[in-house]
Amino acid sequence: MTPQPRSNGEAHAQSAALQVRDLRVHYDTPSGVVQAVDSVSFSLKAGERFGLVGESGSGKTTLAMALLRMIKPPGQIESGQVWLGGQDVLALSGEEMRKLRLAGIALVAQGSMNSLNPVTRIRRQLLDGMRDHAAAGSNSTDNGTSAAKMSRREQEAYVRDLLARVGLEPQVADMYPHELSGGMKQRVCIAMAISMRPQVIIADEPTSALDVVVQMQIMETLRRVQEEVGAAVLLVGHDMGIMAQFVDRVGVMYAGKLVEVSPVREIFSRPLHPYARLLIECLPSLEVKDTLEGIPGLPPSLLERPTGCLFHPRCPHATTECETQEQMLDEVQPERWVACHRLEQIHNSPPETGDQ
Amino acid sequence: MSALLEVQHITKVFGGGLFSRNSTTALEDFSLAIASEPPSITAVVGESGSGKTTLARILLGLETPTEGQVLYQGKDLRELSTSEWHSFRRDVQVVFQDPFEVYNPFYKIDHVLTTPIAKFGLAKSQQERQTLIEEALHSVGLRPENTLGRRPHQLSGGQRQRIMVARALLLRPRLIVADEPVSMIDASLRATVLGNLRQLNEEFGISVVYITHDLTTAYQISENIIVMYSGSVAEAGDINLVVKQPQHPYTQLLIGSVPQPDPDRRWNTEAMAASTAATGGSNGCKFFARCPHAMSQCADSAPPLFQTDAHRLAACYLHEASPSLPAEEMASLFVGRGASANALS
Repeated sequence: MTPQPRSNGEAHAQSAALQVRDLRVHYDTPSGVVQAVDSVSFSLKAGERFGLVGESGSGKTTLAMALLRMIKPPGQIESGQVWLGGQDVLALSGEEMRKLRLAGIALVAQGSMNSLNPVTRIRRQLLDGMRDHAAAGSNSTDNGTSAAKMSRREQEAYVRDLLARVGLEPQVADMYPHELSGGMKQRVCIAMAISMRPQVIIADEPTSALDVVVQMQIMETLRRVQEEVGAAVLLVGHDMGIMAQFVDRVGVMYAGKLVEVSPVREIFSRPLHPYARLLIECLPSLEVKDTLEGIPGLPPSLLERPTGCLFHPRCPHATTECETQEQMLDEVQPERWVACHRLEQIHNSPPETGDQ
Repeated sequence: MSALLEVQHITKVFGGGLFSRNSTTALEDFSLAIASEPPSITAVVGESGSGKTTLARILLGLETPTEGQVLYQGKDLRELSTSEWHSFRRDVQVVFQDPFEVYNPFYKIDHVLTTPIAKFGLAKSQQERQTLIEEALHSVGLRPENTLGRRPHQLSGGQRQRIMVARALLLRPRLIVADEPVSMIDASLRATVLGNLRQLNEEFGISVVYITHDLTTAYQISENIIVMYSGSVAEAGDINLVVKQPQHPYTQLLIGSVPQPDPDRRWNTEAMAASTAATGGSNGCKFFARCPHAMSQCADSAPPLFQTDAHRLAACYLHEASPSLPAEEMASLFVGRGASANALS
């Protein structure tokens, strides 16, 4: 990327691959305004793996789509900033954004194996994105991979290299999607995502329909190529097991807000926010048979959001303060950001601190 | 005493008709008996293509096996009289995988609850019907006033799936076949639905066949497990033994791949090398091509079930020294509830 002089984002551009500040996204529906993403701020360091967890409807996928500027009406990015390297993503024109996708920020979508074109061979699908980027603008040669300028032989070598990186045989290039298993298709999608060496890969539940063995292979493949390419990964999902195995830091979303952002070891050994704690405690394990209890209550409707802390109706520690006062994310320990009024009381009362 | 539901040496082959050269054997010489007493929870675990959903559909009478028999209280399903068929339909209930597709979006959710009541004539009056529905909803932890009168899209996946469990419960069945009931539900709600299933088993004496690809949830609710690989049993028996000390290489691979919610306990990536899916030979062990311990005899003939412990079987020549057991006797080794709890303590 050519460094561009920017006034207020420059400092972050140096250290972070992706910087999100006060991002708000809402959907304007007939029944009212749904605030799907509410003042979310976080950043991804270059090469970092960051996990975004939450229940369905917590806004995690909307957030991921907003980073790609792929929110469709009635959804709308209301305010906030998204910096990708030195570029202010929300200020780009539609055409500039089109060029940035795949080249700068790529997506491995949920069930993306079903997003492959069923009537086109894999080779063409791998090259299509690059061809399009070459055609889209004359100055898009930053990555040195513009397919339009490649000879046939170079294209062939390129496809072969991409497939090899994700552990697929070269003959896969000549196949159609229906000839591949779900895991192989997901590998093809990962190959596409890294084809232009983006700085950030967004992986939205990339293994939700796959078997555990294949799931492990896919996640390990993603990890390997991500390290090779040096891209940061934003992994969106609700499987805490995969998060524990894959990411460096975890952000927990609840009803459109981030309630805790912590390094992975810390959050699993000692989750601070009551919601994060319940989320981790209700995980079934292969070690001990527990009583099967989920988190009591239901996630709030985003149409009628509770006042104060959004989690207070389900929180075992809620007080009147929680019902009325909103709490922002605060760095309560080094590297640990939590939004909770009652943090000190909860974690200082000895019988409740659950270190095992 | 004949079992409530029993499958004997069933094989299911799809395709391979007159004009087709390709046929797929989804299930091969599989036997299982589910006793009516005591109520049990049996997990059937395997990856996609292992034949577990085919098994579910055969148990439910939705699919007829190519070979072998399905017996309901000792009688072949194909020979049931109309009234026996009616009682089979009532005794054996199902919870399907997708809580989004089983509802007709045009109807209120009440419809899925009133239909079986009408069909089986469970209630004589409106009021009785209402009471039945409310009781069933209460037993799965739902409040009728927040549930009835709503449309499917107004409920979460977890709620919808619990309504399906309530629907099954209405009929007071003796067996529920649950095919991946929680795979499409958020992790935070899974525990509740599984808790419901276990509660039905304990309080109402309903047996459950829990079909899943998720070993962790299987471990949480079942006493016994059958690990399927490519249509055959790889390992079966007391779930505590199978999960803690797996004997079949496939079970070992499966357990090693479970993502533990603990960053310090990494999944077993050594298994990666052995796990590229391959189409194995025809006669031998189906896991041959992926197996790190494959021996020459594995390619020649499929291993029978070897009884490695009092309550466990493994279909692998590594355990050749143990006595082999005919497949139809598999379920006789299963542990009851009390025994399972004590097995490892």
